[in-house]
Amino acid sequence: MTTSYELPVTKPSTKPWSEIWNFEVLVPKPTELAGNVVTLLWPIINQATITGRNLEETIGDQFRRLAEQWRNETSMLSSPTETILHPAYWRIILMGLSVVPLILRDLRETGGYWFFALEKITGATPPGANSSDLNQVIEAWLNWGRANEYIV
Amino acid sequence: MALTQQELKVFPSLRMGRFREMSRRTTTRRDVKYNCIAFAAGDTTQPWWPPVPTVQRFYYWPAGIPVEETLDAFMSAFASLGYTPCSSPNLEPRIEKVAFFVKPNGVPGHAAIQRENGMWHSKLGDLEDIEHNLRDLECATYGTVQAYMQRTRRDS
Repeated sequence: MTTSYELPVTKPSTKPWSEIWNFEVLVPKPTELAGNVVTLLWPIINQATITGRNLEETIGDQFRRLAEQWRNETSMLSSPTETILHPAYWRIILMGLSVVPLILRDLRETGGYWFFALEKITGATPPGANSSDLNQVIEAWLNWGRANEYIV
Repeated sequence: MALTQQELKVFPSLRMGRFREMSRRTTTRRDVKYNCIAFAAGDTTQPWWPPVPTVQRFYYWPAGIPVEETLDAFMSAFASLGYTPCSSPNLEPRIEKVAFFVKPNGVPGHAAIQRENGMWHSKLGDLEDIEHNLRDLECATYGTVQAYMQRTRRDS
């Protein structure tokens, strides 16, 4: 006799990114836990507590560091090849979808060649993103970000 | 915005007081409207670079010039503007000169154009236009000055 299983269907969240990223994993206070050991270790436990907010900050800090490195080391370049092949730029691409809201925020504030990273990460091609006018391309991606709730 | 200390670190020879900013960013947005090659070619409407995939639509490159990141290709592009190779960066009356910086791997890193006062004028990537001593921009990012070209000044 064989048993068939249905794979669970995961629907994409309809919540805005800001809500998804603001969840927190609650950890009980040390007074709620028994034993001196836990109390002694509380500062370490507390520091290691993972919350959604911390996760965002961690990703955000990493993104900001890499983005700043990319900007600092490419802003004086004329070569688009070197700008886009910069290791910090590719490390940001490898961070995946989690950095899309951060890229879009940076794109809105500083412009530049973020569209290539957005293409690679999302696989999307928003209307207008193939324009030869960089400002139009930037606007196309910002509109895409708003429509997909990456920008709130 | 003026050039920041962080940005100046790229150019070890470029000291405060030895260059002059000719333009200044008014926003935090990167100014990719034109680049150093376009600026040296007298075009501030579009960046110049041999077309590379993904960003080629944003860059101009003269028709018929080899699409390669080599000094020869860049000099050919400027030859199409009436420039001819020359051997010296020295100021000469009614002569306009361009200097090419090339990195050790042979890829051009920068171009600067000589002003009538003998100083050199550059657009630093997405940053400011500055007036400077030619070799003050030699660095790992731009490479060293490897070639010069000249033509009669158009306004003379």
